[in-house]
Amino acid sequence: MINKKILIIDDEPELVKAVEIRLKANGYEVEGAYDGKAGIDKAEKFKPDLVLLDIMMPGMDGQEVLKKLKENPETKTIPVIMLSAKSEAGDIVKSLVDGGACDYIVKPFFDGEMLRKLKSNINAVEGMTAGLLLDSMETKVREFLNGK
Amino acid sequence: MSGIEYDRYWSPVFDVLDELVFLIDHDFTLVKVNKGFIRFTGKEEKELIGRKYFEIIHGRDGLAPEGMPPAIFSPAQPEKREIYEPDFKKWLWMSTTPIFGQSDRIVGFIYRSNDITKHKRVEEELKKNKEKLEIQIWGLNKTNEGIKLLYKEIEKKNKELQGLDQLKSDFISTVSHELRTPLTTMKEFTSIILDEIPGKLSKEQKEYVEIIRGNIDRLARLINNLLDISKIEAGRTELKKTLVDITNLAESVVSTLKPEAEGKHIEFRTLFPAFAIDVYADPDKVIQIFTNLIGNAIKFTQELGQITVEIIDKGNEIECSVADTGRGIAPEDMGKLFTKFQQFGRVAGAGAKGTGLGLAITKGLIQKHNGRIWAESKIREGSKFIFNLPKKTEFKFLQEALELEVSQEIDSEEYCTLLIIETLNFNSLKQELGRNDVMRLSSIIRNMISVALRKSEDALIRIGDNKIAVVLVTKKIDDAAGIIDRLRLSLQKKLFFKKEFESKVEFSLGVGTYEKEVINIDSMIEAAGEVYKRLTMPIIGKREIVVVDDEESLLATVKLNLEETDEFRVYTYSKAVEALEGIAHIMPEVIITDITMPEMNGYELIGRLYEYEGCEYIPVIFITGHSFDDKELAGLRLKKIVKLSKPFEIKELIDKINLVSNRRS
Repeated sequence: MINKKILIIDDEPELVKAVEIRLKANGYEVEGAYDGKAGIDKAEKFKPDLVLLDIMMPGMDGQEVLKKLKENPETKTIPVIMLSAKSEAGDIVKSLVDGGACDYIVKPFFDGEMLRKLKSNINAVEGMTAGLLLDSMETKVREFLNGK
Repeated sequence: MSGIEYDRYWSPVFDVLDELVFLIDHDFTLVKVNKGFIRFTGKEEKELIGRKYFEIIHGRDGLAPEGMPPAIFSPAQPEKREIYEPDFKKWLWMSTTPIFGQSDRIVGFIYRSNDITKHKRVEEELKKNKEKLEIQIWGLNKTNEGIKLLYKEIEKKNKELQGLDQLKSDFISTVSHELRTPLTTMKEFTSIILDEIPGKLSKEQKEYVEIIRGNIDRLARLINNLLDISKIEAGRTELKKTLVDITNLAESVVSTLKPEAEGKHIEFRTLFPAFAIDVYADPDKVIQIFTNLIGNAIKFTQELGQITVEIIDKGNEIECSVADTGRGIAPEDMGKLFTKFQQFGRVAGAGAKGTGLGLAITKGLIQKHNGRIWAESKIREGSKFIFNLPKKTEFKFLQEALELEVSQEIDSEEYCTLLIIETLNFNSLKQELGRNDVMRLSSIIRNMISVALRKSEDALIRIGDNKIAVVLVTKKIDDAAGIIDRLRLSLQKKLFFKKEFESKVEFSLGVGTYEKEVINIDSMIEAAGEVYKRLTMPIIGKREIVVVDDEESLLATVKLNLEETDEFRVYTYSKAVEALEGIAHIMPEVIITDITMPEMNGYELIGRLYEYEGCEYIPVIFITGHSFDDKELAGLRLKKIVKLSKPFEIKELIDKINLVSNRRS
């Protein structure tokens, strides 16, 4: 099995380091970015299987980064998990519903929470990419329906 | 002109009048006076006749100060005016008419006069009153202006206060963010060390790092509690109230905390009513309340003690209590129980350390629900914390919830539709399945409803575990009808719930639709309360799968292997044409089909399925020898399709089935 690639975007370099260590120990390939702009660049180049994205960052904040990621055809299918030290429901729901993030984790993380959520969201994506096959398949089905 | 000429008429005509009447000649000498005039002056008639009139009336030599206005000489109309008589201290209304002799020469004047002193006084009084009133009005206006200024000032202060409140709220949220951020890094590194990722730890090292992590967790709890209490104090706790079965919530807390209690050999007793008790409350907050109280009880109860959780239905309210056989609370401490940062009788080192905020938060949350909390305790015998929450009728609850929902939408040229979906056989399902499973089932149903309505679960108003209300706001009434249709279809789909459990869910669907301008919430609730449609959703014990392949041996293997798991019922078809009818009839959970088949291939089969209502959503797994071109992929539509390359393991197939399945089990 090829290692899944995770990109973490957080303005706390030490936390990025901790997450890197933890995820690498669990067989993930990890890249870190310390601000929104660098994060977007890395998402394009590194093509991660999943992005961990902090909401509160100086400069371009997480919501904005999420928007940029979802606008870019190169990165829009990558699932994003928001990280937030604000536990207010408003923050979370907003980023989830409006921005298209697939999950969130509130800081500080519960033991094992991040690994669990990574796993389930990457799996869900596999299902989705499998589903994505459909478009070509569906085109064929549609063609058939239209009598071509 | 001589006085004698008038004598005959004078007395009978003028003496009966209350008015003062007198006649003067051109020289202003009084010629005739009536009785009224005599009464007024208080003189004899003979004293008056022959005197100049102004000597009598004005008591001065000469004409009245106003003189004779020119109009007095005009024959057309009498001159009228009001004069003040200083000698008599009276006001007179006077009308003067000239008397003309030959060649239009004025030969005299006739005066008619009235004592208008009384009127005048009233008038004066009125005038004074008017002035007074004017002063008062002026004063009121001034006061008003003052009030307006004050109001503005209050508004300004209010805004400032709101600003401050916002500031405090922002401050707390910022501070907690700032505190949590370093805490997160600390926690992550300690757990990396504890998991021995960088290297092995000695026993002591491990113990010390565990202490660090315990304290990090404690700090995190403290921050959360601080945030909670600040929100409560600032009145910013938002309750997401629904009708919930409080027994159910209490039970879930008890079962969560049971292992902790069992660790201390504490016995749990629950005295719950047999029937569900619906309260109108925020379930998360109620869980927090029970967790705090039961958690405290466990903390302060020694080994082999007992904790009793009781819920009593008191009609208008429900009373909940948590009693322990712990050390009890000293009478002098009882008053401070619910105050912030108060901790009592803590044994050093025992259990998770508290934050001293738990009871204050608990009290705040209960008060927010319009309930009360109090405590009873006897030293060395135990403590009992009791709280009550008001109950609410379903109608009233819906009214409130709807008012909130409807007022949120501003546009009035829309249609507002209320749907009430009730699980009719909920109680018998509960008996068949037990509490936990029936809760799981109702959450699956809620989820199905929210998917069908394309609304998040938050937008569903939970009236109870067996009843859900939904408010739809649509531009056209047809839009609502379309949504209801979609809901109707999905509530009739088969549901795979639990192995070997076959049953059905009976729903009733009620609908009330109103134009927003004429909306009447009460009648809307009534309309939606009536049954519009009855629906039946079969719950099937086995997951039904259809497999289509021209290779009979593959069909047999798949059927055998899948059915061996005891979870699936497999229908096989070697001809796509036959499969078509079968699928439309069975409506399986997933279709597994080969692509290359004689007569009708896999694509054609799936394409044809679009002609059957409901079939377009059945997920498909294509079994194929060749691989798909992944680069053409773009977006996910309508149906979930997954490929599976031959040869495959049965486990792989089950994984794919679970992956594409629309059902949750």
